[in-house]
Amino acid sequence: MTDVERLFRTYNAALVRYLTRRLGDRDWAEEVAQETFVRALRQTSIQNERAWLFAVATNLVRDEARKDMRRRKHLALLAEEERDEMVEPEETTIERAQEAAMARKAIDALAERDRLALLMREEGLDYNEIAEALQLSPGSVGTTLSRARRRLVESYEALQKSREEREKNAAS
Amino acid sequence: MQHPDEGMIHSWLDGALSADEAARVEAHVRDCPECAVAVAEARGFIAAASRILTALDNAPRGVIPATAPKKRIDPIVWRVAATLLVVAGGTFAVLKSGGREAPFSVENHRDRGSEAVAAVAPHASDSSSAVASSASNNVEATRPTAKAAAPIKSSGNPPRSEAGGSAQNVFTGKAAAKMGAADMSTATGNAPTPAGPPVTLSATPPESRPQVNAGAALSGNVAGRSGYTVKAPTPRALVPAAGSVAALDAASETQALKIVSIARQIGAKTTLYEVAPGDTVTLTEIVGAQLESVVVTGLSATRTAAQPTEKSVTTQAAKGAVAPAVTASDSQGAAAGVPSPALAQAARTQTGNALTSKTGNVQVSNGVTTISWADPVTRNVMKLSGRMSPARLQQVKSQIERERAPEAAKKKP
Repeated sequence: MTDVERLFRTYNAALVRYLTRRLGDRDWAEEVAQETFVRALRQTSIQNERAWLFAVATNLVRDEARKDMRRRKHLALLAEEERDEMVEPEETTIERAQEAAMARKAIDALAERDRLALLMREEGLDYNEIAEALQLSPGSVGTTLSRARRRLVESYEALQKSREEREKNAAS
Repeated sequence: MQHPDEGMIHSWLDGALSADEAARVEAHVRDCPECAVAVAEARGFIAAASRILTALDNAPRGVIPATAPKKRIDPIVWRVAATLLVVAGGTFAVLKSGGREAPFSVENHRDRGSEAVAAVAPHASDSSSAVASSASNNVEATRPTAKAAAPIKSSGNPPRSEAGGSAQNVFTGKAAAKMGAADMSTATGNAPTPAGPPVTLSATPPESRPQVNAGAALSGNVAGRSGYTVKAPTPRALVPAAGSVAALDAASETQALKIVSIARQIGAKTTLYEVAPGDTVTLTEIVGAQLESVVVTGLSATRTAAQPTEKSVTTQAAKGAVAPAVTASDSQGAAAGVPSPALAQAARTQTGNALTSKTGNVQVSNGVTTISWADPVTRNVMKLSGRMSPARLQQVKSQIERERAPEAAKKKP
């Protein structure tokens, strides 16, 4: 197994999830993830693989570098394998769709750095990796994350509340 | 210890603190109810945030196109635009020249990638073929013509070229009208006033000239510079003309005058020569008898008039991308008469006597010099005009005569 294959198998799922949450589109997320691994191929050495991959993926999204992305057959095949192994989420109900929409709204309301730190943390990156990927000081990651979580939850709850009120008004 | 701030609590819960720090926070929180509440709240946020983010995994595929499409104008749009431009330009040219001219250039459509023209106006190729065939008496519409015409078309600047402010044409008005805008799109120089730099003449000796037969309105065998031919032979001229194709090809390597277009109107054949890039002269050959000016455009005309050599004609036409004689409409052909060689000959002799001067009659007006003379062989009235000095035009005339001589000689009874 080549090194990029190992990287791919180790981090692709987390990276795709991170990117999906970040972008709201699974296809786009997979594309960015693949391009990230392609970039990794060109690196002679990567000190912290996970931090590097998330940082590159984040930058790819930010720079909209997907325009020059080319599909790599090999990686696409690997992604196909991976997808087969994944448990597909259960059928989307209206309830779930509404939740997803609110979550999207709430995450979009965050500042970019807060959002990225939170999403990275959710994929298991430790504080040093997040600091490295986002070029923050390690000491500020806790503050960034606590702020991000609080705001996300508060936004989400506010959306939930207004939705409940709408439904109540509609019912009465 | 001071109360740990929210960031510190999250760091502790995330396991990001060093062992020492973690132990201290743990000790403090155990003894501080306020901080215990904060820790509970933090745990709640961490769990809730995680749950909210999980909802995002339900992202659909293809919400955003997989490949960012770069806005590009569909090639078809360019094609249509180009077509419109060409048609408009051609129409303008036709209108400007009063619709009398009958430039023909079939290859032009193809060589210039203007399939769109044909696609948009399906009749275009047919009618332009008719043009070509009528202009060349159903024989070969060829590349040099098209090639020569192409620059004119692409420049969209007809004034420089002149397809002959000349008068007559073998085309009937009907035929010319039928050609339609698409044919005129070649815009083969319908501008009435030629304007161009002085003529430069090549010094090629006459004997190395390609053989050109443009003797009669109904016969013409014209060599282009690139060696392709435009042949419009009468039955009489057909055989020698066909035989001279090879010679033409060989000789055309020399600096022959480049024929940009040949147009026919009633009683005349107009040939546009390019003597230098962008510099053209017009040779009008007026045929004496109206009998000769009858349009020969159609397939039926081809059959009757060009019967003896139809084989060679069609073969050649089929070989090229253009097959004007074949596609010419039958209705046009039906409307057209077939010239009688004998009558035509008689008519030529008649008119030819009127002008016998070898050097010809020179007229200059508006900077355009016109030389009139009688063709020694065909006895047809020849008019050569161009925007240049009489002396230069005389040179061009000599050159044209040299080029025409061998072919004309063959026709001489």
